[in-house]
Amino acid sequence: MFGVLGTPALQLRGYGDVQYHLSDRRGEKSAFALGQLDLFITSQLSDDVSVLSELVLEGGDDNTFGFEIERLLLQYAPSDYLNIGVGRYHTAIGYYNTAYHHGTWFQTATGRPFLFAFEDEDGILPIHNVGVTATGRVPSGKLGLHYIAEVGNGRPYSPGEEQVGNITDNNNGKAVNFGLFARPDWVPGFQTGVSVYRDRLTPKGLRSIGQTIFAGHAVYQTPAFEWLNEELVIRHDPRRQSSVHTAGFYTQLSQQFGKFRPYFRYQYLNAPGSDPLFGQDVGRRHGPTLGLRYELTDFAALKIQYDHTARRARRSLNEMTLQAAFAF
Amino acid sequence: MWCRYVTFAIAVNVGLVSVGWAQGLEQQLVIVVNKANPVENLPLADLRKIFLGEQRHWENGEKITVVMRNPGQSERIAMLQHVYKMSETDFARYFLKATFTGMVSSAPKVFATPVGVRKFVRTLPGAIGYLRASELDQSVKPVRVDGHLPGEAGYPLPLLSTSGANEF
Repeated sequence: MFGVLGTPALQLRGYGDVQYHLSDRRGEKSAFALGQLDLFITSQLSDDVSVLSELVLEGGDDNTFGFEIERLLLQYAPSDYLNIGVGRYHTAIGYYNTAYHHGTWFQTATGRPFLFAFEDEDGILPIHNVGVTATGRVPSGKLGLHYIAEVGNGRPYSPGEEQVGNITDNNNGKAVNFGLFARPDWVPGFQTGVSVYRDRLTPKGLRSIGQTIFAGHAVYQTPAFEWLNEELVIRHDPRRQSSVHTAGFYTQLSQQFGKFRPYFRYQYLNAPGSDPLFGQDVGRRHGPTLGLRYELTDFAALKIQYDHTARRARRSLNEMTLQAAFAF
Repeated sequence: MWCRYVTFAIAVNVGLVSVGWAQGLEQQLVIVVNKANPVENLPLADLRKIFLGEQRHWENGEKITVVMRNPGQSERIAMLQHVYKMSETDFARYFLKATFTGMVSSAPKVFATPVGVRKFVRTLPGAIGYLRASELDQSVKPVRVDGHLPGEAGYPLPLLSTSGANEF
């Protein structure tokens, strides 16, 4: 746990990816692209206290690199019933956001479902949050219940500004998130759960909006097989206006055959045009993803993926991605 | 209960058992904990949670530290098959991911010899590891699995045959 000077030892892991992307999106050119260089650093400060950080270097559309602290958590885990962390974390909405972070090598597919896209990639959810997160077991025998409770700044949603409240919040209200999930003993690999996220948003240039996100998931994962299913409903309550609901889901199936892992994902997202935040930008989109992952070594994978996305009142998109993802 | 464990350990070590039974113990794993640990029996499902890092504390609040043998050793291969239900590659990926998600703070400790395992478990109150049953001595405490000790009918942790080691 401690280094030669008696100070906490640092553990460093790296994750990265490089890809080639083709698309029939208007104006987009095919290109090789450096993905994320993800530096994952942990340190155990004592039996109960540890630090976890995920630092990402990533290229932008202007071909320059940016650096971001994706996660930084000081964690205190005195028992299995309480693991509390303070800092920046991935909000425990649904399953995918906390099961997969930034290292694409961990993910079967080349990227996240668009329901869980990052804020700076046109994602609609408060993927990151700064505040306090707690999780732990609930005494429930073989049902394997766990709770989640979080309070943080929430996502500002102000157009053209940073989409994570890293340093400031634009109101005094805080976002809260509560969840319950079960990992029953009698079906190893199965997990099901629900969560509810609530915030009052005050984006610049818009009226105050209440945001409630209901999420449910049922997943079954073994080393050889996975079946992920998630559904979300996002309710926006603009002051003195009626509620608007955005709904989305995805299902993902994959099976390992030796070094090969074919996968399929179908995803759907429908944001009404009247939504005060998403409006016409998000709209309705849905479609299948087909892909094949090949394990080049235990810690490097090649993936080829085709995406077809039908969009409301717009042309459908066809995309092909070749990706090399690795851990080191 | 404790008398039975002591008798079991002494019998193994001083050879007061039949050659056949001793050979049987050579072919089984025994789960061991620190002698101060009050746990007597672990259902296989709970043992799996402990070795996966899903359960990180004993009921007395002591933090659990899992001890494994080196990759490729037959004891570890048996543990991966019977408890983890994973290949060596899956095991490595599992702990990379579990560390990445914050579920565990580090992968299990690794030792090359039964002497190393016994010494570590003897020293650390929250440690848990495994040995060939024939390598058990009085420095550590054996734990029943699903109510059974090695050598008893229904014990769920046999070592694998050489061919079984290559099944993954």
